Amino acid sequence: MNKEFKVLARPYMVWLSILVFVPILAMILISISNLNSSVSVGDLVISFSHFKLLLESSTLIAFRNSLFFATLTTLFSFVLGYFIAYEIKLSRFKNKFILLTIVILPMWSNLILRTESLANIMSENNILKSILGFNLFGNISGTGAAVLFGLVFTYMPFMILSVYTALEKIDFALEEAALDLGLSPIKKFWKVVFPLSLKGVVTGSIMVFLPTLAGFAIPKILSRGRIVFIGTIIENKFVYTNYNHGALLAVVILFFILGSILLLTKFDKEGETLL
Amino acid sequence: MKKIILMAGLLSLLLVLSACSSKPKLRILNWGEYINDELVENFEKEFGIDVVISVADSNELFYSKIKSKTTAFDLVIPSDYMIEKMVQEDMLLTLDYSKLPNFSSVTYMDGVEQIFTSMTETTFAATGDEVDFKAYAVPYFWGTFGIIYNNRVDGLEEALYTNGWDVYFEADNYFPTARRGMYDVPQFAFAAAMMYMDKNPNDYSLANLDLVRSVLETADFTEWGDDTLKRNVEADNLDMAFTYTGDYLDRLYIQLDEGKTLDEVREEFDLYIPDTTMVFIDAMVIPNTATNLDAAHQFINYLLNPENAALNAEVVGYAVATEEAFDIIMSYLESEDLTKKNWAIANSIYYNMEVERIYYPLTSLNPTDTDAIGTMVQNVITG
Repeated sequence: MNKEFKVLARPYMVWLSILVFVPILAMILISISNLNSSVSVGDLVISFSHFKLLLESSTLIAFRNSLFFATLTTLFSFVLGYFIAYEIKLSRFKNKFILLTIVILPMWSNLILRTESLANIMSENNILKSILGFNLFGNISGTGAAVLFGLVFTYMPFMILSVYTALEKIDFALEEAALDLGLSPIKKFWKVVFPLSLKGVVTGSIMVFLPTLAGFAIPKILSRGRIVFIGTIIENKFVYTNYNHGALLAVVILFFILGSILLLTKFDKEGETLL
Repeated sequence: MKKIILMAGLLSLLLVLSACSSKPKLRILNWGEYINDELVENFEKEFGIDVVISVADSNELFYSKIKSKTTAFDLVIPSDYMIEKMVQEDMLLTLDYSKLPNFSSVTYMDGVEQIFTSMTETTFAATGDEVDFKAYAVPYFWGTFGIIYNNRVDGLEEALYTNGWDVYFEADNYFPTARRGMYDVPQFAFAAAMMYMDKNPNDYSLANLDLVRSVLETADFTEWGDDTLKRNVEADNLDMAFTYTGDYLDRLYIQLDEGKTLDEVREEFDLYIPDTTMVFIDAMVIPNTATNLDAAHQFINYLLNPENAALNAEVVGYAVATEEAFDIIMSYLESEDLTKKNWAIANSIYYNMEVERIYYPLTSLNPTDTDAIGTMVQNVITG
């Protein structure tokens, strides 16, 4: 039986090595050499000349923007999302699956479409304004607030789902015991429920932080092209076929991601966070 | 039962046979939605040629498809800078003008002539070769760039027509409240700033790069976008945006279809084309992989016929290349058919050949320069 399982695991391992590991190695090679569409492997020269791109002010600011917005988005998603998850857990409504479905309802429409519409109703004159007579979002299109709103709106469901899963797993007997031993409901929450749900928070944070860090579509649309993320620059480099620079920045992002995962495993020695 | 199988077999054989008819084939590589199908059908009927059209959506794809030689295209319709590149790399055949009798009865519009001259100049500057691009290419459509502006803003129109580029780049001096958008293609931004400074947009140098940088910094655009620009001006969320003339016409025709009159639309948002502006041209060329040279020439000749060029423009909506085809479109100014009439009016306003302008097609810069411009623009945006 075990042997058969091993065979079944193989296709994905092959997939992983061909479509992930090899390209990552290629990407690293492209980032430290002159290899591109018009230079073949035969004329390969290793050079670190592309690294001066990392000192360009736009690159530094883009990295700062990505990190700043990814951190803020994670914080907001955590604060706002946690209590939604908690409410769902406490809800007496029998079919919680339906509640969770409602939470992910926005994801049913295409991401770009949703973001474009959001940009539309955030601008000075829009369809909502002509219906309501006032501007719901107060013309924030093109600002950091618009980007933050869009990111939180898009990624918070990931936080809610992970936190909810962790909350559901908490044994109710523990909560009863806490109350029996004289804790007030609020103290019970902070001393029992919250610590036990932390693994969900960490998983959720990763699922919010990483796509925000590497993303480019949402900031580009909602900032009207004015707030540059590192993903925006990578996209531009590839569109204008500067593969070396694009690969270099992608590798740097990769190290950021690896770094945050390592950091996580350090805090999470028991491997509770699914990682 | 056997009979049924036999019948089915015969039928499918018939289908296969009819599919590979003995008619000669003409393989065209074109942009998507860039030809009037009616025109193609007419051509097929008249000459007994099967036209097979493949589609690609960038000049770079045209290039790689010809280079890879997987399909032998007989006719390709790339843009100006790509034609320059293809000629430099010996990928194109020279046209046999004895097979293009219609050529002698048409006159290219002034803008088209300027584009050919400019292409010769940029190629000469890059390689030192004197190339006459008419030997390789017959224009398909061309178009200008302009500034879409919000006509609900009092005085903006007048300011643009009096001060041109200055209003767009020095808003502080002319229209401090104007919200302005720039196309987020770095080379377009570079070119626009160069034209504002009365320089040739293809004249790349580090000194010019610095000048452009300070111009763009001062301009401090509200938005860097693409298709969003035209929609934002239309929706009163931007006041000026530098973009394709076709982008404006696109929105104009949609509004006309929705029942507005031309004047109503123009009162909301209109297009100003500066005296010096960027242009593009798409032209028919024959790659050296072509197999059916006769059919390719026949097709080019067919499209040189003004009637056919006008018929094609009806669907595509860019500017025709010959004065004769333009005159045919102008004859619709008195047409009963409102769509045709509006189309003719739009052409008379926005593609008016009476107005003299300086037109620059953009050349393809080398990768290092393209990258330097890209980085400069990113630095401007991030501030």
